[in-house]
Amino acid sequence: MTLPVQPVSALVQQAQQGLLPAESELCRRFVPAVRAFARRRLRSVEAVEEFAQDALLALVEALRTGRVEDPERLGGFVLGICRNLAHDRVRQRERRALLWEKYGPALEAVPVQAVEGESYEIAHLEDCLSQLSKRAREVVRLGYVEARDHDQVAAALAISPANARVLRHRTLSSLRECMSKRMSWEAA
Amino acid sequence: MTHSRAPFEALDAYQSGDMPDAEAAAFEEELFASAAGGGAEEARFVDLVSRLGRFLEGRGGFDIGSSRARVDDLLRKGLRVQLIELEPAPVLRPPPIDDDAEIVVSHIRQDVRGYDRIDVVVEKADGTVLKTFRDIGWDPIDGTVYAVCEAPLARISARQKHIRSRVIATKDGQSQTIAVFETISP
Repeated sequence: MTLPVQPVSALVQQAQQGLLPAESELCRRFVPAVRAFARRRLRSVEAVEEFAQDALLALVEALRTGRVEDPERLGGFVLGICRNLAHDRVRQRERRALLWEKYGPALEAVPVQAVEGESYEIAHLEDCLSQLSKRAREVVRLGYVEARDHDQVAAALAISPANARVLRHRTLSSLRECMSKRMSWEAA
Repeated sequence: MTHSRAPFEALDAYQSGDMPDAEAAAFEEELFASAAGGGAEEARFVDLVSRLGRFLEGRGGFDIGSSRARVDDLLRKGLRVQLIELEPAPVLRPPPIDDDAEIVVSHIRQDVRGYDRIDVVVEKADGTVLKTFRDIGWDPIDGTVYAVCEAPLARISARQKHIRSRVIATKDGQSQTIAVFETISP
C-alpha cells in the first residue's frame, strides 16, 4: 500500500516546530535534486556528497529558524540555498562543523551509502544488473558509481561520446523498468 | 519533468554539464519544485543506483561471473564469503546458505573459455524462464565461473527449489547450448 504524499506546506509547518520526521522527509525529498545539482558542478562522489549534506543542513537550519516564509515555494528556496553554496564554498566549509553539531541528526535519514535495511533493494539492483549486457553494466559502473563523464565512459568502452550518452540513459531506463517489477527469482 | 526528451536524457544532460546554462537554470527550477512535492522520480532513481551501486562495486556486484582473484580480494577485505564448489553434473545440490554469510560465491567448475559471450538462462522446472544472466565473466586462468552474489539475493533465489540452467555460448554470431544442469536447493 502506498501512503499518501504529505503536502509540502504541512511538512514545513511541522519542521518549523522542530519535528524531526518532517525535517527528515523534506531532506529525503530534496536530496536527489540537490545531488543532481552538485553532480553538474562537481566531479568526485565525495565532493557531491559533501555539497548535498551542506545544502540540507542549511535547509534544516532555515526551517528551524523560521526563514522559510512561503512553504509552497520551498523548491525554489532550496535551489537558492544550492546556488548560494555553489557561489561561496569557502565560507560554507568553515560553517560546516558547527552546523553538523547543531542539526546533523536530521540528516541521519539521508543515507550516503547503502544501509542494512536496504538489503532487498540491493538484491533487486544486483538481480537487474545481471540481466544487462556487460557493456551496459560498465556504463552504470563508470557513469553512476565512479562518476566519470561521457568522454571518459566513451574512451573506456571504445565508443563515441554520443553513443555513450544514448547508452547511459537507455541503460537507466532498462534498469528502472526491471526494478519496477518483482525480482526475477520471485516469479510465482 | 515535462521535457519531451527520452527518459533520463534531460537529467543526464543536466548533470553531465552538456545542457547549456540557460536551459539548466530552468531545468533545475523544475527539478527542485518537483522534489518539494515528492516527485523528481528520475533524480531519485539515479541517486538510488549511484548509492547502492557504490555498495555493490566493492563487493563484486558488477562482475556477474568473476575470478578466484576477485574472491580472494573479497576475503582480504574481511567479508564473510561462503564459497560453494560445484562440479559439473546434471543435477547440482548446493548446501544451505550460511546464516552469517554476506556474499555467496558459487564456483562452477566448467571451462567456458573460447567463446565470445556466455549467457545463462535460468528456468523453473516447468520451463518458465526466470531470468537470463547476460555476458557472464570467467576466471582468465582456468576458464571456470565464480558466480558472486550478495547473500540476501542468494537466499531469495534459493526459494526456487528446483531450477534448470542452460549455458548458452556464442562465437562468431552462432549460439549453442554447451551445458544444461538442474539445481535442487535444500
